[in-house]
Amino acid sequence: MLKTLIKYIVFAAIVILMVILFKDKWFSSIANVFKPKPVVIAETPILIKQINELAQLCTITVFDEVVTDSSEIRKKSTIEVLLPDLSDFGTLPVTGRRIVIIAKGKIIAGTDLKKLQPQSVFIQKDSVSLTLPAAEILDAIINPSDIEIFSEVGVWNDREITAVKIKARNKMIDRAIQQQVLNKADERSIMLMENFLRGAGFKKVFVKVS
Amino acid sequence: MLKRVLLYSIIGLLFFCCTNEKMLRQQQILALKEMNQLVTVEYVVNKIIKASDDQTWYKLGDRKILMTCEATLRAGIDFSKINSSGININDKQITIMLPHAALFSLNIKPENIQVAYQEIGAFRDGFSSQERNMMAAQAQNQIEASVDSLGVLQTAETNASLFVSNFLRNLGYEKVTVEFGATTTPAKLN
Repeated sequence: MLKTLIKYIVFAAIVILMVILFKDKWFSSIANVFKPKPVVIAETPILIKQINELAQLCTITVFDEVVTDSSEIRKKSTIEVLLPDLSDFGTLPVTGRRIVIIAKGKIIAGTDLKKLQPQSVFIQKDSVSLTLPAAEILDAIINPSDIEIFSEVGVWNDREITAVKIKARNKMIDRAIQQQVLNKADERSIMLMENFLRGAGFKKVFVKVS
Repeated sequence: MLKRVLLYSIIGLLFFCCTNEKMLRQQQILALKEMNQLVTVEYVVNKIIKASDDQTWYKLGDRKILMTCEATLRAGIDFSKINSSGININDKQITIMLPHAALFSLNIKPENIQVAYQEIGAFRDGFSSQERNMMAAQAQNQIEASVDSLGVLQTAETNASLFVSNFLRNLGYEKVTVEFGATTTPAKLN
């Protein structure tokens, strides 16, 4: 009886010890042993290529998410028909490649104040009239961290993948323009410049877009 | 009976210990946002992405890759923070207080990421698009972290001061003094 009790106490002690060790992360979890290690890039220097002076008044940002794809379907050759097809096309008489990406990004619209001409400003005593250049898409940002390769069947080279990403960016720009982003950017630029000119001491302020 | 209970409890505890904690994900809302950013500088930088995949013990052979990427960093000042309380006018003289510069965007265009070299072991697959993308994302983080050392914000403030001075001179002021606020903005993307 005593022998059995000791056996159970030792057994329980081992279990408690294991729990403590696992809980305190003394051992990595069993799943992690077979988990592939992530590829970490080396710390390399950053080279400044160019510095540009800008004067862009960014007034509207559209955050968007789009899905784009590209595919290439062709008829299987005689040899391909005889061989087993392990791709998604299976026993179909056609084969090919397909890529689907989900891209998140932002489109920035606003006014390029560098395009202001000396004749854009007209001053008379405490009155000022300013003609702003029309709003434009100033930047379209889709960074690598914003892109998810949802499906990739077949081999896709670097240039082909880039073309799909550019397609996603253009789709995002089109959608932003459809949302009247340029008109909204114009309105906001006018409002911001009016406030600035009033702060600069002008009593009568008139701002318009060319 | 007791043996069985102990066995189940061991399995249960091990399962509990090996389960990863689930991260709470914040729901992202995509929308149209109004901004007030006066972008005054754009830095175009280059970076070599160098990686070697040889850390997984059960995979035979190595994979190496070299990629190049070009990033554009844009910085400037928050235009809405220029208000009448920060402007002093004395006849043809004006003193204006501008907010400190901040980093507004980092853009790595897809066409500016290129694979320069790859070395794939006989028993390994090539780098997938997703893997190349993940490496470019790491480069993006490294570039963002180096904004301070690149001097982007200082140049942004110099350019902002120059632009505002010229603009106010065009409005008829003869002497323009530009100052920057006391508080500094951390170099972090919005």
